[in-house]
Parts: sequence; structure tokens; C-alpha cells
Amino acid sequence: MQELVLIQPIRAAENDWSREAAQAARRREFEARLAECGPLAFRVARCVLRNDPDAEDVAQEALLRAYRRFDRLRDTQRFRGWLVRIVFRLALDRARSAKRRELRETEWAQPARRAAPPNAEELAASSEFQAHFDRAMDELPEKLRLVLLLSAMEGHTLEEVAAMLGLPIGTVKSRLFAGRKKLAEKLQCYVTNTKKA
Amino acid sequence: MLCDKYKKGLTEAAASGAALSHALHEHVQACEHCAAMLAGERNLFAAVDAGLQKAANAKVRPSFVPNVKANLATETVPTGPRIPGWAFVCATGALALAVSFLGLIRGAHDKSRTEAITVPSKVPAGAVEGGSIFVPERKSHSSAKAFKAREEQKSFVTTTHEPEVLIQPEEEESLKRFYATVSSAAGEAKVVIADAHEVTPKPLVIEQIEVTDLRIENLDEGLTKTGTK
Repeated sequence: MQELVLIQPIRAAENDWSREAAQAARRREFEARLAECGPLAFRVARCVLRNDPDAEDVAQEALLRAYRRFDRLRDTQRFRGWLVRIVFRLALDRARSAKRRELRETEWAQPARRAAPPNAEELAASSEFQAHFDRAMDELPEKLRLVLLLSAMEGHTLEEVAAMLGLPIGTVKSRLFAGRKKLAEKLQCYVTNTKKA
Repeated sequence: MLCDKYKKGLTEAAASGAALSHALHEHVQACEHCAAMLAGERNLFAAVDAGLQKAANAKVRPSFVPNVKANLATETVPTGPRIPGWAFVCATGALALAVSFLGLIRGAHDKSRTEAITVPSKVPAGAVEGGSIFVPERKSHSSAKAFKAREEQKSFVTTTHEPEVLIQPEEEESLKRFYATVSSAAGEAKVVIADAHEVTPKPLVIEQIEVTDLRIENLDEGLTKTGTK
């Protein structure tokens, strides 16, 4: 019994030490991936939310969530795709809740919003196109949107997008094609109207 | 119209960015309208691509990654043995199976028990008068066969229902104990009632009657007769 009492704390200390060492190693590994994929996480969130502070917030939350579950990721080569999916999902949730909140606020503060209409200078051609583009992007199905954004992001090749999303390359190609076509269809009216004007 | 059959091909070519086929190329060379349409489509897709590039490659603040790193330092990850997700799924499945299996067994048991314990509402008066009998408060819908078997065994199974009991005073204490046991032991118990208490109604027996001084008088004639039985 005495022996046990003497030995136990040493074992506990050893366990603590090994646990801490493992945690430190894991943190180092994650930090290396963070340096590589952090901007990607931010950009994915930014594409969905179109707002820097919200995008940073969501990207950070996603990265912390990924860190907490980093042990569960068996194949670390898939980290990018895994992180992209977490960020995209979180950003979509945030965008939806923001939309609901905006809708509520619009209902309550309708007169105030009507009182301040945008002036002509604010509706510059490029920002107007961007607004149409953003709306068209919002209307796209999620699976098409993610492929479009990833393929436009950081010069990813189709193979890289396919690897990130765990999809066959043919699927990525067809989604990319369908997504661009849908976007063009939605923006066609705007382009036609602009030309007429 | 002739151009209509080329329209789809031109749009597809603009969308994919691929080179025009020979037929399309020849048509575009000859038809100004289709050439203008193709140019418009190519412009549109170029605008789409530019919009995508702009949206997808936003500038990241240099402080973003260091901020996340700083937050990682304060983040504590739970350590210790982690139970994998599949273990939870298996455990839940096993539990559900066990519950459903128990439910099946219990259901079958309840069915047989219902058959066994139902008691007719009409109890023979003689049986109640002399002995003791359990009459559980139940709706009577048992078959005659089940009732006969029950009568032979003289065994009854009590249920969680409040029983109505007619009993002799000296058996009251034991019945109380039995009922307490039944109530505490998950509502199931078996009791066998002794045959000793069955009493059949006895025929009326009249003791011998003795009549003394029987006198029959004729009131009219004044005659008297005396006799003894």
C-alpha cells in the first residue's frame, strides 16, 4: 500500500507530461496547417457572408472547432476539404440567421429604411453589377456555389477542388459548368437592361 | 429560323470556353447576328468569372492568423479516453434492441396473464358465503375454457388493479401481508386458495317437534278429544 502511494504520483506526473507533450505536438501541427489554410477559411466565409468582420468571426470559430476535433481527423491530407466544409456550413448558418434578423428588423423599422433611399452616386455601375452578382450567387444551390467559389479561389485546379470536396473530377466539372451557366442566366437580364439604357 | 439551331451551341461554347466547332465557326463568320450574340455571351461569362475571382479572393488581414493562434493558446481540448461515435451508435442500437425485446416478452406475458386472470362477474353465492375468494375488479371477457381451468387450479394472479376481497376475519392479516407483497413486487404474484373454505349450502333439517295437550273441540257440539303424538 505504501509502495503504491509512493509510486502513483510519479506515474501521474509522467502521464501529465506525456499528455502535455502530445497536446503541444498537436498544437504545433495544427498551427502549421493554420498558416497554410487560415486565409482559405477566411475567404470561404467571406464569399458567403460578404462582410469582413463576420467572415473573420466565422473563420475563427471554424478553425477553433477544427482544432478541437483535430484528433478525429484520420487523414490529415484531407484537412483543407474538411476545414472548407466546416467553414462553409458555419457561414451559411450565420448568413441565414442574419437574413432572418434583417427581415425582422425590416418589418419593424420599415419607415426609417424608406426614408433613406440610395442616391445615384452610390449606384455606380460596378457596385451595381456586384450587387446583382451577389444576389445571383445567393440564389445558386449550395453545391454549385461551393465548387464555383473554390475553383475561383487561390488558383485552385479542378483536381484540387475535387480532392478538397471528395468528389470525382467529372462531378466538379459538371457543377462548375452548370454554376457558371446559371449565374450567366441570372445576370443576363441585368446586362441586357444595362445595354438598353 | 436558321440561327436558332446554332444558338444553344454558341452559348455552350461561350460557357465552356472551348473553341468553336467547324460548323459553328463558319456560321459565325457568315452571320453577324450570331457573331454579336457569341461576343455578348463571352463578355457575360468573362464578367461572371471576374465577379467570381473578386468575390473569392478577398484580402485577408495580416492580423487574422496571429489572432487565431492566440485563441488556440487559450483553447483547452478535453483529453482522456474518448469514446468514438460508432460506440455510441452501437450502444444506442443495443439498448433499443434490448428494450424492444423486453417489450415483446412482456407483451406476450401480459397477453397470457390476461387470459388467466379474468374472472367472471357472476360469482356463485355459496362460494362467497362460506369461504374466501378473490374477485379482482376487472371486466369479464374470458372464455369458458379459461375459467374452467382456473376453477380447477384455484389459482389467481393479482394485477395492479385494486382487488375487491371477501374474506373471513381471521384471514385478514395474512391477506394484508399478501397484498403488500403484491404491491411491492412489480405487480405480479400468484396465490393458491385452499379448498377448505368451500361450503356447500346444507338442506334445512328440522328438529323433532313435540306437541303436548293437543285438544280438538267442536264448538257447536261441545265434544272434546285429547291425544298425544
